[in-house]
Amino acid sequence: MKRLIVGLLAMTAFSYAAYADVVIIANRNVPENTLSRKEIKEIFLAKRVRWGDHSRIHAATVRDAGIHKMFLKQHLNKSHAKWKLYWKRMVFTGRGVPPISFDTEAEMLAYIAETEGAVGYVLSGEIQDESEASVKIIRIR
Amino acid sequence: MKKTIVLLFTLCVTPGLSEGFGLIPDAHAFDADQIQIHGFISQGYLISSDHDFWFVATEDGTFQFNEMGINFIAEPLDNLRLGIQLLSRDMGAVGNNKVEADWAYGDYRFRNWLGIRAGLMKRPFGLYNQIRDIDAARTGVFLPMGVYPDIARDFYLATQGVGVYGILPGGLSYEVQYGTVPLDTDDGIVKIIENDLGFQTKNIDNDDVFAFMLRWNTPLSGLALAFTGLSMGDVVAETNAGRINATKFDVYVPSLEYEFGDFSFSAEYRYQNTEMNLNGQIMMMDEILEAWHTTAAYRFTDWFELGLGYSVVYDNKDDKDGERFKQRGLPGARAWRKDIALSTRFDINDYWIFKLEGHYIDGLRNVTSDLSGDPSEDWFLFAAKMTFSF
Repeated sequence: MKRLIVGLLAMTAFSYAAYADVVIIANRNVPENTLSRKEIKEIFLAKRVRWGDHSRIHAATVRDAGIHKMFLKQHLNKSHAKWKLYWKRMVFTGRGVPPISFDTEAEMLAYIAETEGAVGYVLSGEIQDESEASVKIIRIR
Repeated sequence: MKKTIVLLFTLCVTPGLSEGFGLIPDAHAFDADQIQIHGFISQGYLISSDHDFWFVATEDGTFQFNEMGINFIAEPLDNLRLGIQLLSRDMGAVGNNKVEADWAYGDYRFRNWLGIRAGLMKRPFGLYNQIRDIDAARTGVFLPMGVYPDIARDFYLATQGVGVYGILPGGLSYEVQYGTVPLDTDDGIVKIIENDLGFQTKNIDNDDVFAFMLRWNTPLSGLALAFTGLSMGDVVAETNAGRINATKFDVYVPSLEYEFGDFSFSAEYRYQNTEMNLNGQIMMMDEILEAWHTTAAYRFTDWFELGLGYSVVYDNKDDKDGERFKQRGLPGARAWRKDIALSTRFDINDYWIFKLEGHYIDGLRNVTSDLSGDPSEDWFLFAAKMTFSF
């Protein structure tokens, strides 16, 4: 019975993770507060490299397969395999290098908080109170 | 070849870089002080049921089918990226593992809508010309052969000059290049001329080339339309028979691409108008080449992808039956090639890829072995390739 409860809890947690929303976050000095889905895609594919005030965009990702795959699916409409394929194409033609990648969300959050122009993502529940957070949430328009 | 092996071996055993070669499971490309190093090595095997193809001894089976490259990318300034990729490749009589700069350019991007590049740049031509040598970046061993002939790779590959590019509102993006084409008498395009005409080329040079790409990522997610083209000035080849001058070489490729999750589909049409004379007097060629392909691929798992493609090319769209060859006592099938390709790709891990590919081919265009007698118009080509990239 105990195993069953643990199993059900684990499944619940997994289900939450599988269906949780991934929100876009950015350094507090980033001029934009909203982005379209197309702009988000362009930013993480290095097609859009400047914010509205022409300052440099620094995109960041997390190596953790779970949240990264959710981000790719929800915001870029790409599978992880297609994402890797895209960056192979970019680096071997000299047209760009992948976003800086971190082992944990905490590391990425710290990077975004400290780096002007930085943008990344977290699970929606990660930031409870935006007014007290070190980063800001970018709304999708 | 020896130099290439030594270079890659040195990189392989250098502390830190050995991670990049997959010796350590959690490896990633070397990144120190903002210099990124990436590389790849591919070794393939080709065998056909009949004929040699693209100057490769496919009928006997051959391992003379490889490429290896290494690149260095740095961003010394906020707006500026510098990079170079060295490439060595072999495909039968072409390439022979000579180490050359594949691309080497500076990229200054100060607006989303405007970036400037200068140097040796991969040329936009169709959707996939720029990734032509990057085996890890596509499903199949070969790109669709009709639209992307590997034997003429050097002719289409890169522009030495300047370019501008950027993204525009409404999902549009563009790239324009102007410069020259680095050509050499060892290039496949020269071997085609020599094979078809029986001439020996002493020197080849060309005038300027203008190339462009306009791409529209449509409001339907995953659907993109593109139009690429290039126009080349005079290409002059000094041969033992005289001066061959290609006075016109214009190519246009409209493309469609659709990607949805693990599914991808593309269709492209290549229109190529060529005029060529000998010594400014004898018109040798005034033809419009026509080619197209449709290709679909689906990734079933993290490690397995399947692709299916159909590709067609006609030397001269006004002589699809090859009457001009028949008049010379040659097989009319030299005028076309219709190719059904089935590709499998196995991603062993993030670094190693293995591919198997089969082609059922109708036609003899670019067959380079003896075509006397009654050569079979229907034949098979089989390709296997292993690639490591980091």
